[in-house]
Amino acid sequence: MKRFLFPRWVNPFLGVLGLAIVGGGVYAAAMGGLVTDPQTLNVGYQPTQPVPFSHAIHAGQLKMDCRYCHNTVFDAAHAAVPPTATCVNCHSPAAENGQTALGAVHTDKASLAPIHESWKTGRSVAWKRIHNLPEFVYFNHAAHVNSGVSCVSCHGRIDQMEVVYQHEQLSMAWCITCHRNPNEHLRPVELVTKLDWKAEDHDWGEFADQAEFAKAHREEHNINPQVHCAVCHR
Amino acid sequence: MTTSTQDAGFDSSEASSSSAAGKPQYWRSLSEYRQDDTFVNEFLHREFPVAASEFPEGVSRRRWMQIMGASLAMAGAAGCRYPEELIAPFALRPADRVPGETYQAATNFELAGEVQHLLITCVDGRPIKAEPNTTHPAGGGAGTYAQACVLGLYDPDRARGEAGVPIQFDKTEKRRIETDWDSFANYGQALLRSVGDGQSVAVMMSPTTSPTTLRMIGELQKKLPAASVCVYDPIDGGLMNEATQRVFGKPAAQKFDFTEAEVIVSFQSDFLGSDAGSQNNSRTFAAKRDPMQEETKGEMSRLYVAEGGYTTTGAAADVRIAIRPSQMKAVLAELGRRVEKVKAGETLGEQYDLENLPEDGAAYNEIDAAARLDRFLNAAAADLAAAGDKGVVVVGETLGADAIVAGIDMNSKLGSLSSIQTFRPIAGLELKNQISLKDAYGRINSGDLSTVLFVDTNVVHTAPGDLNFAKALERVEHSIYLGIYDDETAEKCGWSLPMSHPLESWSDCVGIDGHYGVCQPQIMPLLGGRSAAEVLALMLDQEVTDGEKLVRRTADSVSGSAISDRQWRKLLHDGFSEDVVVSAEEVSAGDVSVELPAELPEITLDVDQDDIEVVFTASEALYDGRFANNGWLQELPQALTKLVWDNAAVMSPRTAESLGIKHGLMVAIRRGDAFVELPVYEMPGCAPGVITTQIGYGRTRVGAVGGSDEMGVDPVGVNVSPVRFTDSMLYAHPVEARPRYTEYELVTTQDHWAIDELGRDEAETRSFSLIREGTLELLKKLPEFAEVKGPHVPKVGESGSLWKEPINSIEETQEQVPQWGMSIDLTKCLGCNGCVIACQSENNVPIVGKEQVGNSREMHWLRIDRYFQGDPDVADIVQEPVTCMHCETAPCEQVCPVAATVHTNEGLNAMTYNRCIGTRYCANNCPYKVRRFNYFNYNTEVGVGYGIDAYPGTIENANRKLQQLVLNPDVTVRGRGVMEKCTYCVQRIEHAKIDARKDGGRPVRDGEIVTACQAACPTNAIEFGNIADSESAVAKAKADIRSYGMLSQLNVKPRTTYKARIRNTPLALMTRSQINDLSLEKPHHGHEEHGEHGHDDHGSDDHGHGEGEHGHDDHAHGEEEHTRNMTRPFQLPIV
Repeated sequence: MKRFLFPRWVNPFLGVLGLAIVGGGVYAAAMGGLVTDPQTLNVGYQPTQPVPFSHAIHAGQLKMDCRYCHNTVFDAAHAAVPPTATCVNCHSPAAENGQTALGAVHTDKASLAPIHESWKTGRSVAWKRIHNLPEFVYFNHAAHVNSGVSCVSCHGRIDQMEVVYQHEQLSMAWCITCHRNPNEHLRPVELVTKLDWKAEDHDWGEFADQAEFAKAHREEHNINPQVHCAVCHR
Repeated sequence: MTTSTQDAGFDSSEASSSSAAGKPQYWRSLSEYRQDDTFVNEFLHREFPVAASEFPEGVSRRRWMQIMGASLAMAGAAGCRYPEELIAPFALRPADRVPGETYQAATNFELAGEVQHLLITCVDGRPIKAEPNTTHPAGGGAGTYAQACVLGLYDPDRARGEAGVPIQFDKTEKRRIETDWDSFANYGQALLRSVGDGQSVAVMMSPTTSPTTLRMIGELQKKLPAASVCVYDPIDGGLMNEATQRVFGKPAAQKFDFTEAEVIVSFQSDFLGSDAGSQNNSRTFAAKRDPMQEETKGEMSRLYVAEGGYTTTGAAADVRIAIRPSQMKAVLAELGRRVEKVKAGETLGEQYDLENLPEDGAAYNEIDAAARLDRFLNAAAADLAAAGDKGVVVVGETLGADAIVAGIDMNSKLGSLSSIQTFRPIAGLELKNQISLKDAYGRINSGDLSTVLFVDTNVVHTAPGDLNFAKALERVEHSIYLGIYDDETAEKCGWSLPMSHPLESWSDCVGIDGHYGVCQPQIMPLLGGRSAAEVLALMLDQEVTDGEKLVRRTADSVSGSAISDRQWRKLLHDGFSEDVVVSAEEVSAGDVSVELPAELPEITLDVDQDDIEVVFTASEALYDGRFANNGWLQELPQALTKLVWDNAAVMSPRTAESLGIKHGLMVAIRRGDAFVELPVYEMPGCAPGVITTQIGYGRTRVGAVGGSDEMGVDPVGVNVSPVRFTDSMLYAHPVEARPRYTEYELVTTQDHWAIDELGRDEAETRSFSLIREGTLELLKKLPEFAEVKGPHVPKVGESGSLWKEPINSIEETQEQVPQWGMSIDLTKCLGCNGCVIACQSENNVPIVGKEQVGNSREMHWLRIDRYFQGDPDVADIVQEPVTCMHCETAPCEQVCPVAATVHTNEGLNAMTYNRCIGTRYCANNCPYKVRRFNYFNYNTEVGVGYGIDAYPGTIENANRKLQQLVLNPDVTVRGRGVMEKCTYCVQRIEHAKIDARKDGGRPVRDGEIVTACQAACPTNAIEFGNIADSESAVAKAKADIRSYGMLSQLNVKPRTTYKARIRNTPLALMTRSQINDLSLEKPHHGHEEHGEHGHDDHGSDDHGHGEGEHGHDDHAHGEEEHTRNMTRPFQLPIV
């Protein structure tokens, strides 16, 4: 039997094949290296929320403490999103006679309608989750803020965000960088919610600088972040 | 052809020659003992049985493709980023509620005949775990039923209709229709108005202590003075009440406190196992089982057990004898006579001491049955007489009221009545017109009862065979059933009302010590149920029908005055109150005489197939069948038999042989005209001619797990009710047993996870070292016997190996880091299975179903190994809980290609599920066989787990997803292709560490971390904590001289160690192997012993230092010479 030979007209396709291989390689590299990189995927995620709540106004201009709303942050894994009741403390809906039960800030603003709706019906406001770790990761807010890691380290300058977006990668490599050397992220525990705080402007008192404070602080509070799997994966 | 025959011949000859060389000293099953082909080929040579890697039969290839296709499609749609998630905060968050955090609430309830004082762990308003309320003065205790009840709460099969509504049988249309509570209220109230003084009305209910329920029934009787009440105990039919009526003049409940007991003689009682009160009994019993306790060093109680079957109590015994229950009364009487003789100064039988031990052929296991009984009775009588009021006799209900009375009488003579054994009148004595089940049945059949209200009692299923309630109920004009499930009885009734689960309703109870306890709901009724008191109040058209108010009113009357809100809150918060105690009148024993046989019967090992005795016990898994739809309990390897998803006729190999049957065939049991067929389970150590079987199986209408004709789900196990008769519900004698040659596949976990012991020699040297036990005499003579009995543990290098191990560098650089470890006391462990369920509940361990267990795919992280010792007629049992040992040099870690299992610097062998690619190398390399692999997505696709959609026809039924609510959010739910194993409850460790961090970064205190198994253990056999802290409880436990590590000769350095089991066996009753143990000598590790290893070819100067730095696994090899001699050429551990 004669050997099978490809006909001559196939030859140009060799080039196409070569292109496909090269292109495929580039594509794979781009997908694997750039597109699925946490930097590309996660940072800047900024969904539209049911209520255009502005952290820039509340936390920035009005200088409300983070814990006014996220009050479980020092006690629990979750820095709970506040119940509608917290909003209503200031923005209570007007009754028929125009009176409000509690605070009367922007009582009839249209954008507050979902809040008022929730308050009347008792149903939740469906906020969109921005900082979302995989289910097999057990992050705990209390463990971090109680050690003197500020909100700003992971969430960025929330107090300047009109609409909140994800500021950091929140990838495992990113977490571990800090777990290996947390020093530069430490500050006195009472200052963790001060987002505009700057280490260089702080009066360090008995310590020369932040680095020295961090060293002493870790010693005192036994802060030795672990990097083994079971710390976060259970 | 020729070759293959030769091969076969060679194999068998090898097998026989090796077994001739010596039967294994400890064995886990008869097939291992006999070296059956099945054991050798299926379990020993391969970890998983043949065909284990095939798809489950329930999932066809087609279905498989669908599942796979669906998951692929999901993957595509999900895109690159995580799916968008919503956060739904409360509109008004309840005070003190922290989203996502667990909290515990105290409650009490009656479950399976026992009052349970529990702490329920909830998260976001849903209960996920039940643990004992250890602050309760009666001592907490959460048995398997109580722990598994959280799964029952989320059982979608509880529902009537979609959302849970009453169901009415429409007589005109001859079908059942869904209706609502208002219609029932109209019907019920009209009904009660129309029945006059209630002559034709009866309430049938399970025994209860609930003052509120009893009060409501009292209200009913106020309205209908002639209405009768039938309190029906589905297990024993009220035998204890009958006996106590005779002794004390009123029915009373029994309670034991063994903390002071020195000698306990048990007759056919399973007071540490399936009997009511076993949690309390176990706790107090264990208090006297620590021979190393400082104050009472060298002392422990002694437990004699005479029984027909093999029970947990028998396994815990110091001396056990297998006797037919029919002969037990005579034995009891003889014991009484011999005690009197000893008290009169007589010395019974031959006396032995350490110099004069029973000679060859005269040890307890070597003499014939009659002589053995004689010796048993002599020793027990002598001990009882010496113990005086510290001695107690426990008589099981199986033996009937006469024997119970005789037992009480004996305790009264000994002086332990009202100290060790106490009685308290049962609740509900004030109810009028109480009738027995048989009376109720007769009156229904004669047409005297036209209105029957069933309160949580499934009589159609549980009633003995001579009462056919299914038929009788047709004669009842108005029948109302209130129960958790729409079950066999509900189907026959005019109305089926959904009853709320104990975790979702208000009720109350009175503990065995009299503390009043409120049962508070942890969640609103999920499936529209109401409690018994609420339904009665509704029918009686009372002003108050709200559960909480009804209970509070009762609490007021119990405490004597209206209790304040503050007291009420405290009562709810603590689960009890010292102020609210139900006082009970003292009971005093009257003068009773019981006719007992005057002579011992002839004791033989012969079996007559027409003279078989059957002992019925409450099912360890299902109780009377009420937990049949609970997958955790169905899949729980039953203590001793290790059987799952079935009941069986448990009998000794000798009985099976005489009947001409064997394990896995059916036996027919006939009693008069009634008969049942049961699969045979051969269990060494049972008395000849005795069959033990568990009731409650064979449910035909309970749900997708336990069996339902309607849903096309076969019943689980066999219903043995037909051969139970009303006169003795726990015992049948004589019955005829005949072989049936149909095969039946019983699935057990006993041969699974056989620690690979290829080569019998190696097995011989190892098997006894896996589990170590000794007698108290041996402990006194040779305290380090646990070490001596084990194999030589090589000590090489700085801490036992040639290279520097990671743990060494951790110790050098990170002194602050705690090192977790566990110690399990085998003397205290009774094998009650509490830890197994606790682990399953805490760690989201899936339920896989009978077929998958048959393929060795059970997922329990914690198993209890059970070993027999002796021969099939006289066999002792030792048990050992086995879970991941968290080896410091874990063999699993070395073979993982993706570093999915790695060590933490706290000594945990961590498992990172999201890294695991499922090679299963780790499971292969694990010497303890504690790793479990997810062959399927057990939680969703296969099995009978939480979000089941594997059931044909129910795939669309979103209701089934309800079960997922039981999952613990702190533990990852594992998917297909992932290996898993015990984590030492790492979520609890991290929780405690974070709590310490919140507290200013202090170290975690000893006792702050309680693992799930430890919390559930009624005997406190498990200690967990930081072994680097020499003051911690676990470090102290590990310093105990009995402490040993399983397979520590492999140099894997297990972090879990065991304290060898101690039996307090008197010399006269020691078996040959126990006597031989007494001649063990102190470890010397002489040259002869190690010469063959060439001790001198290895640099020994490495080993002179560094000894003892590892306090936790240092085996006290101190001396220089000793260290040198231990050296042997390093060889890879071959396992």
